[in-house]
Amino acid sequence: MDPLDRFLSAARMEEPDEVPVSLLTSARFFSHFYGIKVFQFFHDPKLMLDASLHTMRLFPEIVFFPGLWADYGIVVEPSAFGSRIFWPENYVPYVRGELLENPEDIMGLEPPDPKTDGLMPFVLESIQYMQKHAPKNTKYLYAVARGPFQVASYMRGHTEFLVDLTVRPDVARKLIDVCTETTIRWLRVQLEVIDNPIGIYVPDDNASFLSPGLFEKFGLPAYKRIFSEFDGLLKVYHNDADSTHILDLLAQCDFQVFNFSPATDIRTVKQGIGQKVCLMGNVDPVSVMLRGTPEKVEEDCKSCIQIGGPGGGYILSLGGGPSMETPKENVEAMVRAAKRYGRYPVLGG
Amino acid sequence: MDRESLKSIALKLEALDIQGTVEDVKRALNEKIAPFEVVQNGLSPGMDKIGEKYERKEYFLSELSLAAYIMKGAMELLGPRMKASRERSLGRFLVGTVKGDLHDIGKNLVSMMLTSAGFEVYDLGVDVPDEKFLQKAAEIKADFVGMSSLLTTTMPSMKSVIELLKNNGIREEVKIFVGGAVVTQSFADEIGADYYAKDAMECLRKARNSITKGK
Ligand code: B12
Repeated sequence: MDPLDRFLSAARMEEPDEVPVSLLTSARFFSHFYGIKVFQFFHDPKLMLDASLHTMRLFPEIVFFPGLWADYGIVVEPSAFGSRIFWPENYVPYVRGELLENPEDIMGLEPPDPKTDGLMPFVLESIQYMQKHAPKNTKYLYAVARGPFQVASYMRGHTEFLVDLTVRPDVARKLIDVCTETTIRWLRVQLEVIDNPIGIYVPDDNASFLSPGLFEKFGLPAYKRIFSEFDGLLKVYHNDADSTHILDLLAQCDFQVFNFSPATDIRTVKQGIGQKVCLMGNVDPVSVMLRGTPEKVEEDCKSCIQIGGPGGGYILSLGGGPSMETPKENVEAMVRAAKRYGRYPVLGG
Repeated sequence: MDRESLKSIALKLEALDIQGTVEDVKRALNEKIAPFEVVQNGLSPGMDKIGEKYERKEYFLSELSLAAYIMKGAMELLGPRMKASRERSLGRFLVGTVKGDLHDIGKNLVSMMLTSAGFEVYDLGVDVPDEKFLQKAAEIKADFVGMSSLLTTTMPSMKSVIELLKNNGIREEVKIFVGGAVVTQSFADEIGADYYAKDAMECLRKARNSITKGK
C-alpha cells in the first residue's frame, strides 16, 4: 500500500498493512524546511507550492494532512467579516478579538460571500494555482474551513465569547449560527473549485472550552449541521485542546476522523469515540516531538500505536500541528516507529 | 453579622450567581465591612472553590470565564474603595503575555486568581513589547512581574524582559513569575526567573508563599 492508501484505509476504520503516519500541513513547518520566512510562504502561491512539495518529498512516508493546502492561517474567515490582520515576518498572521467588541454588532451580522470577501478569493486563486502546477501524483484533495467556535472567538474575543454563552445566550446563538453558516458556505465554494475533492477538514479547538452542558446546547447542533451537509466526503475534525469532557457528544457529530490533543487520554478515546471514528494522534507536539530525543519519540509512538492501533481505524500523528523547528530526526523516528511496531495485526501493549 | 455576609459571597460566587454575588458585595459594603475583607474572606475562598472544581473537572473554561466576569463586576464596586487602603493589598502584580503571542486564556485565569486573593493586578494584555513590561513595572512600582508564553517562538522574550529589568536596575525589586503551556521549570531556571508555576492555583500558592518567605 502507498502511504495515502494506508491513510484512507484507516480512515474507513479498516486495518491497512501497517499504521499510517501523518502530520498536519503547516505553513511554519514547510517554510522552515524550505528555508523561507513564513511571510513569504503566504505572499506567493509559487513559493507556497514549492515549499509544500519540497517538505513532502523530504518525508515520503508521511501523509501530510490535508496535503496541499492554500493555508493563510487562522485569519481567513475573520478577514471575510472585516477583522484587521497582523502579519509578523516569520510567523503566522493573526487577528485580535476586537471586531465584535460590542455585542450589539452581532445581531445584524451576516455571513460573508466567499467569492468576494476578505482573503477568501485569494485562497480560491491559490487553490487553482496549486492544482494547476502541482505534479500529477500530488492532488489538491480537501476543502478546509475553521469551525464556528474558533471563528466566533477570534471576532468576539475568547473570554468574552465564553461569557456570552451564559450572560447573553441569544447573542451567542446568533454569532454561532452565522459562523456555522460561514463554515458551510466556505467549504462549498472551495469544493466547487477543487477538481476532485475527497474530503473536508474542520479545525475548531475552542469548542473544548465549553462545559458539557454548554457544548450540548450550542456545539452539538452546530456540528451536526456542518457535518451532515457533506455526506459522501471524508470528514475530518481537529481539536487540540483537552476534549475529554465532551468526547461522548463529539461521537454524535458525524465526522469520520478525529485529530485530538495529547491532553486527552488516548485509551479513553479509543474505548469511546474511537469505536466509531478513526483516531489520528496524539503524540505531544512540543514536549516530545520538538524537545524530545528520537528515542523518546519512538517510545511514545510505540505506546500510541499499541493503544490506538488494534483493530484498525488509527493514524499515528501528533496532537496538534508540528512545531516549526521540529528536528528532522524526530520526524524520522516517528516513521521508524510505525514500521517497527505498526505492522498489522497490531496487538495491545 | 460579618461572617455570614462573607460566607454568602463565597457561596454565591462558587455557584456562579452573577447578580447574587454583586448584591451580596453591595450588602457587605453597606454593613461597613472593609473592602479588603470582602476580597480576602468572601471572594477569595469562593474563587478557591471554583479553582478546585476546575481541577476536578466539574467546572470548565466556560465557567472560569464567567467567574472572571463576576469578579470584574465585584471589583468595580470594591476597587475604588480599596485604593485608599492600599497598604493592605498583598502586593502589586504586573502580568502580560509576551510579544508576538496572543494566548491569554491561561494568563487571564492567573490574573483572576491573584485578584481574588487580594493582589493588586495590572494586566498588560497580549503581545506586550519588552519595554512595556519595564515601563509599567517602574511606573507602578511592581512587586511581582508575571509573564505568560504559549509558543516556543515567543519564550525567548521572557529572557529579554528579565535582561531589560536588570539593565535598568529594577530586577532585584521584583519577583519574576513565568508560565504558559510550553514553559518549564528548567527554562525558568535557565533564564533566571524566580518562580515557575504550572497553573494558576500553583501560581497563587507560590505568590502567597513568597510573601512570607521573602525572595
Ligand atoms: C486555545 C489555543 C489557541 C487559541 C488562543 C486563544 C486565546 N485568546 O488565548 C488560538 C486559537 C488563538 C491559538 C492560536 C495559535 N496557536 Co495555540 N493553542 C491553544 C491551545 C489549544 C490551548 C491553550 C489554552 O488556552 N489552554 C488553557 C489554559 C487554561 O491553559 P494555559 O494557557 O496553559 O495556562 C495555564 C498555565 O500554563 C499557567 N500559566 C499561563 N500563563 C501563565 C503566566 C504565569 C506568570 C504563570 C505563573 C502561569 C501561567 O496557568 C494557566 C492556568 O492554569 C494550546 C494547546 C495546549 N494544550 O496548550 C495551543 C498551542 C499553545 N498553540 C499553538 C500554536 C502553534 C498556535 C498558532 C501558531 C496556530 C496557528 N497555526 O496559527 C497560533 C498562534 C497565535 C499567536 N501569535 O499567538 C501550539 C504551540 C506550539 C509551539 N511549539 O509553540 C500549541 C501548544 C498547540 C500545539 N500545536 O501543540 N491557540
